Amino acid sequence: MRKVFLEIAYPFQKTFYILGRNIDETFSFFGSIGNMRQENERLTIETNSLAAQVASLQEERKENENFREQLRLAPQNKFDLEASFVIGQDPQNLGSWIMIGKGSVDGIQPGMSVIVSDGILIGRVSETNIHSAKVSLLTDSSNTVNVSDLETGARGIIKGAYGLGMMMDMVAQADVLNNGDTIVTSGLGGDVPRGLLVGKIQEVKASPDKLFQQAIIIPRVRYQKLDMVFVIKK
Amino acid sequence: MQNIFISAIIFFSVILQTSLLPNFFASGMIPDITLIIIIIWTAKFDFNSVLKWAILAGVMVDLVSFWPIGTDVLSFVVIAFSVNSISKRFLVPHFAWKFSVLMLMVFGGTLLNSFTVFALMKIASELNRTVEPVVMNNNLFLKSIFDVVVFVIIYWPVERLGQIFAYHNNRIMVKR
Repeated sequence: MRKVFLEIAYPFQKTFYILGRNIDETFSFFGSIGNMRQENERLTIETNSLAAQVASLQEERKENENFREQLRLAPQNKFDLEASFVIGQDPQNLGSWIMIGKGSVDGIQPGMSVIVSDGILIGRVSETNIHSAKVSLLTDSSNTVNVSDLETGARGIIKGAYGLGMMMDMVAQADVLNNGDTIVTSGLGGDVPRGLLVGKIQEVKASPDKLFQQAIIIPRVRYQKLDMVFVIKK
Repeated sequence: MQNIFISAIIFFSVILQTSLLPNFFASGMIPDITLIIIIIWTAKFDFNSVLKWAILAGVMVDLVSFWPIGTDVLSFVVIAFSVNSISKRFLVPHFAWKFSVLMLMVFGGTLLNSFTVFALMKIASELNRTVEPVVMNNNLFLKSIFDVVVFVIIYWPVERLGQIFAYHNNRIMVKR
């Protein structure tokens, strides 16, 4: 029943979302001074892209240092990416999912990773319809991804905090986490490719049982302002 | 014909809520345009005539929100019943007062909707682990304010549409 309804709603959702984006951009444009907004957007995209590249390069450097074991890391330009527009968002809750305009007919399957701007992970496909799919964002409490600290190599699991943010958990007390460190996917488990940028550490603290360390992670992108995303096909 | 039109209005309100309004409002503050329409119609007409539309609206919102079907249905029906009861108990002749009472109902309806959905989802996630739990919206006050603003904007067109359909209905009944 849900699939049928979403199939009927798909063209309307797509049209209204793009219309909304255009209206929003038009108002924002007039509200900005000169080209500052566009320049800011360009720089933000460039910064995100460079941050992702730095993360990737540092990861590659570490790969070389660790000899052949790192060869399993797939280069980002080798990913089989499927570009898609965002066509809807969680209207009631705190924005824990988005709808994208590509579905099973385009080869999208549940579990596939979804990225933006050259390798910034935003979530995973959780449900697919014929022409659309639901992407659970990293801030969703049902989402867990294996990650590592790029600077120190500390490993852990990132979990969504009910749409409010992200928490890196299960980090051993012996490992080192620092504020501002970059968090990337570790590739453990094999469901999410290695080396995708997740965010930066904002705060480090001990878990309630004092057995592990936890860190609050700030995402690299604003999930609410997503326009186009890329699904990494398996 | 009337049913198709009202269904279409509800359908497009759900689409607006899911795909257009998220572009202008922050997460957790997106106005519940479907709920506002149900409240306006309930205040204008009566519970029995709006009940089926409240159920339809609830089903559509549940479908598009990926929640168990029935969550918003129950919430919308409870709100429609409450609005109907309050409307009958607080009969105010002056339009300004009537409008103010309706604004309060929208404010209260938004809060009630959030609490009802939160409670039902909490129960659903306890009973079925595959259902994702939701967290109480900490922007609820602002969301309610936005709902009231949207209500002020859409009140006359929505009420007018309701009147057209009511007139259409009466004409058919006279012919019979």
